[in-house]
Amino acid sequence: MKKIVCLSMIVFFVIGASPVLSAGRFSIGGFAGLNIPISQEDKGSGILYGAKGRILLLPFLGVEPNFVFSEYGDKDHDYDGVTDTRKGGDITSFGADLVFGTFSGFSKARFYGILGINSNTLKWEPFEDQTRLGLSFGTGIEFLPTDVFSIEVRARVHSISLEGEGGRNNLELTAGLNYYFGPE
Amino acid sequence: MDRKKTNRKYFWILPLLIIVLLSGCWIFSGTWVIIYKVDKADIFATEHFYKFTVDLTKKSVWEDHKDDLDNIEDIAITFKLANHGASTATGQVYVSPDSTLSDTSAVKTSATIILDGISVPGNDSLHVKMADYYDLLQNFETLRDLVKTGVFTAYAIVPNTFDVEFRDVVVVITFSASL
Repeated sequence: MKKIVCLSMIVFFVIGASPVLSAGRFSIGGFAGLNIPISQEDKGSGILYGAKGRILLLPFLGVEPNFVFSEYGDKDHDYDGVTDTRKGGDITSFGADLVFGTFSGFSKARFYGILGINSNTLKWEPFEDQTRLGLSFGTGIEFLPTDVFSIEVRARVHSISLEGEGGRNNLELTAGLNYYFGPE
Repeated sequence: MDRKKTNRKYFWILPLLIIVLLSGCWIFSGTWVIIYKVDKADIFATEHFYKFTVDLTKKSVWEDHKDDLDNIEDIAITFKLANHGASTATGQVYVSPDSTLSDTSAVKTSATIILDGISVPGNDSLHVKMADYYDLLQNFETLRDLVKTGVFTAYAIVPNTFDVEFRDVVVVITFSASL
């Protein structure tokens, strides 16, 4: 159900933005980085990578449909000279982020905020997969050495609800490349 | 003009407030791990089973967070079995809120089996670690409910406790709670 809701939201954003796409500016890009668990004693840090588009709806507002695959690292528990290793796990996430900042003009560096909603499938053995709602917020900075290419780094807190109660919070530190289409 | 700039300066707070309101309390949640080592002196043997009680109220991290408990996410019981007999020994582990079960039939009737299929060849030993434990696990939800109460007793049934030694028991409990 949540997948359908999130997919619908993405479709809604894309359809809503289609007039902008035809006349405006948009980008596609990829990114990779670190997934760092916050306040989670049972998980280690892992890698993450993903792809996203950015559709500029207004000079100060854009929407980014995204797909992210992230890993948790294994965690060692030591007792009595014995090290027992707990497997980390994976999160497959797709959703949309709103980005707000200054995206117009010829500035070579853009600082922006991020606010997003996503659907997350958590896989950690031996438990059954969970598909859960997530929210994210953070900040990023984008450099444009040319008119069409940009390099960006971002820090995003990704908070995922769990079955029952509680949640998992991760700090995602990423760097990526974007390619822009359309007029400035 | 200055006032406008000041207002814009704090604009970033608005989306954060929206996030907090939307997420309820899960954004302020943490996950902790308790490594509960069962002392040798706290493992009691009868002819056909060993028993030990896990009392999480002795752990300060549990006491600090039990009132804000969100979920018991994982429970693993690791242990060693040494079989000094010649033939293969099999075993099961049961759990119960009742620590007074006195014989094997009472354990099998009243308690809930959580580990089955444990097998140790004659004159050999077995270390059940977390990875092995999950292959033997069943009735996890019952175990989870018991752990939520903070105190439970485990019974390890073996062919006889003279030949089969049960030791080095460590219970690893992972729980989430509101910060």
